[in-house]
Amino acid sequence: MRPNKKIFMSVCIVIGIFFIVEAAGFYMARSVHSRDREVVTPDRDVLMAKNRELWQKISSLSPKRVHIVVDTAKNILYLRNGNRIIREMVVSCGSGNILEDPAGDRVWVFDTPRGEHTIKSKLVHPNWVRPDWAFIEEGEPIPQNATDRMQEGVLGDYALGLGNGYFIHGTLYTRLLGRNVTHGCIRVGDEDLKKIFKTTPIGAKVTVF
Amino acid sequence: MITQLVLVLILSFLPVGISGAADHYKSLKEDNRLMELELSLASQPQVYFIFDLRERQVTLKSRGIVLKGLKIRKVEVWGGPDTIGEYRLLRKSALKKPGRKEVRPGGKEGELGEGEFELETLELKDMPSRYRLDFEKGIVISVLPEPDGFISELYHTGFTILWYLSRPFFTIWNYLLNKPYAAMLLTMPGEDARALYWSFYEGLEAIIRFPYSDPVSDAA
Repeated sequence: MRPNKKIFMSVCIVIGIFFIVEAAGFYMARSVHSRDREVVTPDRDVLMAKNRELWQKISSLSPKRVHIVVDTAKNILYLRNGNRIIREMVVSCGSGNILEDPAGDRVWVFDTPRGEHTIKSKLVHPNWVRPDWAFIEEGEPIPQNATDRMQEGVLGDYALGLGNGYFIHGTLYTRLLGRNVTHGCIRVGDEDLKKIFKTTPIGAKVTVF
Repeated sequence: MITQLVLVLILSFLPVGISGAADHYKSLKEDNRLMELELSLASQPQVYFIFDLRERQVTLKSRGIVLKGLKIRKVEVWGGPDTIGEYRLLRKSALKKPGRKEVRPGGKEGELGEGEFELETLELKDMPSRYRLDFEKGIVISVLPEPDGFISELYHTGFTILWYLSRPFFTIWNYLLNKPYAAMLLTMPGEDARALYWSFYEGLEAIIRFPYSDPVSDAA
């Protein structure tokens, strides 16, 4: 066989195999598609009644009173009453940065925790009890005495606790509102914080996404 | 004469009426399935996604309330079930994955000068708009941003063609491994694609309604 003819035949075989695989793959994808069909046929009226019931059940799960929704991507906090938005506020959420403890194997990830939380505590003129990472980040030694951890005035006039050391609180850095700069807490401007504090009861839901 | 005319008119509209009734039944059945799945997710303290590929929208919800709505411009589908299903996100991967910045203890690297500093944070703009979401039961969703010029349009078209050409190989490969496989290619506005990457993380549940969901194909 001449070399040119040999190359031509090889190319034809490769193209042929390619098309066979394409056709087989296409056929298999289509057969999976039709295999999963359902043929259950309940009565139309029964179905409509079931749908109404399901809709009511789902609607009954949504918070009926004041609750908070936080969009960490846009740094927006929505204060809501049922389905109505009472106020939209620009906030600061977690930076997503990582801090490693040079002395040990501890690692902190500064994300605002996603998911559903509840307001667990409400504080007026709160003091910040600086955690270990605050000292490590600043390159300072970690104090042994608890009172050395106290810092006044940095959390604003109010704080609402979400648990695990996360709070909705005020800020001295108002020009950074709208940016992801915090260590996981949700920083709010003074007037907005006052509104949240006065409107939101302990036990209210906070959904973070 | 008038009676005959009325009869002809009724008979000519009858198939339309039957078809409309079948569509309505189909829609009721779909809503039923969707709400059954949503009820089980909404009962738990979590956020969840609904990928409605037929209506071309992605909705982030919690407790039945809509938190965010994202648009899908185009949907390409390869294989997969034709019912509405619930799937957990196993992995999200991108060629250019956003990296978390490490804080240097005692470091001042962010400072530029007096009163000025550069923020080193992970924000929405850092998220990729081209990525892949791997769900359980072999469901793979690839996301592409909407093209915004001739070059990106060309890239988008080329990618879609290659995507279609390569799907049969993946189907056969997964068949040989005895694994289910279905793939979808979604084109979304860039901002929405980034927002989806930001909000969707491993372990979250999603309800997917496929474009040709047909739960009562032989019914009504």
